[in-house]
Amino acid sequence: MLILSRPDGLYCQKGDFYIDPSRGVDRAVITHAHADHARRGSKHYLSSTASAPLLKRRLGRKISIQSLEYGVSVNIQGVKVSLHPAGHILGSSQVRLEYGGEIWVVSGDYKTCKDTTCTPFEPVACHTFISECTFGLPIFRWPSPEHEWQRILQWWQDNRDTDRTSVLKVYSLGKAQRVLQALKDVGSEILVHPSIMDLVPAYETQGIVFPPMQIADAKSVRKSKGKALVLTPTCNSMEAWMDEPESWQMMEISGWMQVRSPRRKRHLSCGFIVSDHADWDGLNQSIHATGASQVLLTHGDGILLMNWLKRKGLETRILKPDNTKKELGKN
Amino acid sequence: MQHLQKLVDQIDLAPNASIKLDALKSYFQSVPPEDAAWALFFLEERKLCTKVGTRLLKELITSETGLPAEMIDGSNAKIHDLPETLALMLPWNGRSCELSLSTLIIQFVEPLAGFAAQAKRETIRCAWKTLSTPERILFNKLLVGKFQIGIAREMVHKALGEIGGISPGVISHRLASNWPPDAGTFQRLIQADPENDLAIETYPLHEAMNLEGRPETLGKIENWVTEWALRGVRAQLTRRKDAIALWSKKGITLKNNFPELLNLSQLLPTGTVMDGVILLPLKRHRDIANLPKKPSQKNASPSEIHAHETPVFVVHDLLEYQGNDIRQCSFTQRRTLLEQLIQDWKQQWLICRSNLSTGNVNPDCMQQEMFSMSEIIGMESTGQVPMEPVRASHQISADSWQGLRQCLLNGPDDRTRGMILKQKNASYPVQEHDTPWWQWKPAPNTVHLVLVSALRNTPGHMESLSEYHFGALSGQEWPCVAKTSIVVREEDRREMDKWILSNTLRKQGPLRHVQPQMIFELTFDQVVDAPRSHSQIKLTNARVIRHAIELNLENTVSLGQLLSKSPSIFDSTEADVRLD
Repeated sequence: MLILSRPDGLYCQKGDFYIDPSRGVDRAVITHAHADHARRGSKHYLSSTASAPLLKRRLGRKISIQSLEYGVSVNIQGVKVSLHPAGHILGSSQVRLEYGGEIWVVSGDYKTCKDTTCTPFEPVACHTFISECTFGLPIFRWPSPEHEWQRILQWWQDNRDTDRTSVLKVYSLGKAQRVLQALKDVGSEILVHPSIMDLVPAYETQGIVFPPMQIADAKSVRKSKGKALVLTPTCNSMEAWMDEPESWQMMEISGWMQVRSPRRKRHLSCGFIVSDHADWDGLNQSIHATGASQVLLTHGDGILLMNWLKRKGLETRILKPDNTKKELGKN
Repeated sequence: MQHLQKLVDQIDLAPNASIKLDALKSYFQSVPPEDAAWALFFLEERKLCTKVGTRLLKELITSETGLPAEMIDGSNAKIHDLPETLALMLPWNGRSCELSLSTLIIQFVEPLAGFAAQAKRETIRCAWKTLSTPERILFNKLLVGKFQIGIAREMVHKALGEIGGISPGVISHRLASNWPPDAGTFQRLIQADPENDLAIETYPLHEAMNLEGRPETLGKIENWVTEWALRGVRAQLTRRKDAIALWSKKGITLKNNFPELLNLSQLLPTGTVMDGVILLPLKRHRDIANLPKKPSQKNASPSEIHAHETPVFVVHDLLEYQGNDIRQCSFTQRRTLLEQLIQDWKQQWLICRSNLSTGNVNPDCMQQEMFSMSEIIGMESTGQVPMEPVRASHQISADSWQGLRQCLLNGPDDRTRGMILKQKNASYPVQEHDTPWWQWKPAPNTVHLVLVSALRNTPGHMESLSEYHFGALSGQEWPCVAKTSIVVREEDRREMDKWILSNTLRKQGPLRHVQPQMIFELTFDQVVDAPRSHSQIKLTNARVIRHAIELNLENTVSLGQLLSKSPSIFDSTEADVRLD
């Protein structure tokens, strides 16, 4: 066993380091900068080059961080470690470990569909693949992103026609920038929450172009009432900014929006189905593409996917979920 | 199909009922009448006989996607909606279908019942290919007959009524028969038909007002008539020309709920309108929400609907006699006419009954109508039903207000809410300055209960709470026994809101669950059975009086004590104390 699941996260005993630990450790390899994967308090961090600025932004400028280009390997106590694109958000990586001829890959979060804000997912050949399975049910099959961007534009236009502000709830890192990038040609009157704006420069240094946008605050939101598209993090309630409930419409962009009951529970009209995670087909394709003979599932309720893969002749186990609960609210 | 899909989206999106209503109206107005008729068919919770079961659909999905049945069931366990699960398992298709709802049904759904298994599979597969993913969800719902999209039937009636400029009651009455879903029917449905509508027109029913204070203030008892305020379904029976209709207080037709009453009403003289309460022998059916309903069996026989329980119609007023509106007559006059009418009605009924039991029935007029009668007689002979399915309300006789008060204190069981006082020479109350009927209730009971949860207001709006739920201890749990939105002191409400929002343990939709620790003093009228609630009981007319900060959890009432309904457990203030 090259990797063990410990309460603090995935642990590589041979190299004595953790991957995405849930608390501070000596050495941490970070797959991407989302808060449930990148946590404060570790002594040394290792991440991809594109991810490093985001990590510094989120974890503090003074952290000790070593960055690595995709495909370049380092040796940690005899374990050969390299990072490979995962296509989840900017700088997200899969971690490949090689020791004594045995190869393990930890997927982190990943997706297979098109996203112009990050390097696309690359399957990495391995013996054991530790895959996330947030959407490991056959009911999750994403529509094409283009289709959903069109729907967002249509919705925004409809709201402008009826003099309502469009409020889009998105995760501030990754999803927000993906939406902004998709809207880059139509952009006018786009307001974004400061927490989203904060992360934009890291994307711009990678050559990603965004539409003109303004910081959203009570004043600017009120000023462009009835016309603007406001991007805000999922946790932000808009009540402080909007006085009349009829004057705005709220939507969420997430894979969960494919199912009607979460939509109704959150009292959204119809969410847009764009996810930064792989859907059922994506998971299956990627798992098979790695050629792994052993698959370990984490992040999500993988029982159905496990049974399905076993049916296909793959040795599959569920890696004891650790902090998977927190994952549910996102994407 | 696109339009229906859009309607469902709009209904999901609507933050309040008026927007839902607008969406419904614009749907019915914008689509061709044949589509509207079919949509209405499903919104009325009717089911097409397709002979397609969920098993067939699951098999189809398995053959289409290669996913075994256990994967389908496992996925459905997450979203609890099989039509949706099945539709989502097919590869996503965002392209809307051009077919109209009626074409789709005529081409793909209606013929299914006559097809062999293989042809059924082909047809459904073909339909799935044509439809977009959201439309497939609706299509699957139509196939298996669970078309629930979050619209109450009353709202549909209201929308149609507003389109046609007729009352929702008339719409509900017209829809209560077994109508064919076609364009002609829909057009006739929303068209005003003054002559026939007049025949089923209703009067506004008067609701008794609460008597605040002593009844002595009303003057001499000789001028007043007293009846029990019965707990049941308030109803209005109209019999004009050939039309017989039974209406709830809000003007919803009860035609399918009480077919035996309607059958009996054929024996009434035409031009009669009566106001009364329908009592149901089974406790669980005493609320209108829990009425026995079989919407899919519009022509079910009474015995199927009520299964050995026959309702009793207690008539307490007569509004129209021989085609004349007699609401302006004094109560005594109306009562005399009513008693006479019921007497005659019974006579008629007895004649029919003896004819029926001797086999001397005129097959032309009686066979159909007396079907229920024979049922009733059959049950009567075994002693299962009361002898009188219709009777005039009982009048309580008392010499003095004090005597009446004694009666009130001893009287009410869980079939009555108190007493109703009506002035003998007053007309039927219509306008504000008319002498109203007074409802005299026993003084409320007081009880200490613990706040367990609260309901949030329409989400997306300000964080405020609209309903508070109180529980009583049962084992380790605190099942909810009282729900109320009435908090007498505004400062208590503010304190409660603040505390709940900052101490929410767990959210369940709009519900906010809190740690049971805040104790409140509540008043209520009665403990009644509520079989659908977790605690099996509920307290009627609960109000929060104050925050009982000095008490701890041991001082509250337990569920067991409430279930025993023993009056000693409540700090009941005597009726006189309150009235003084």
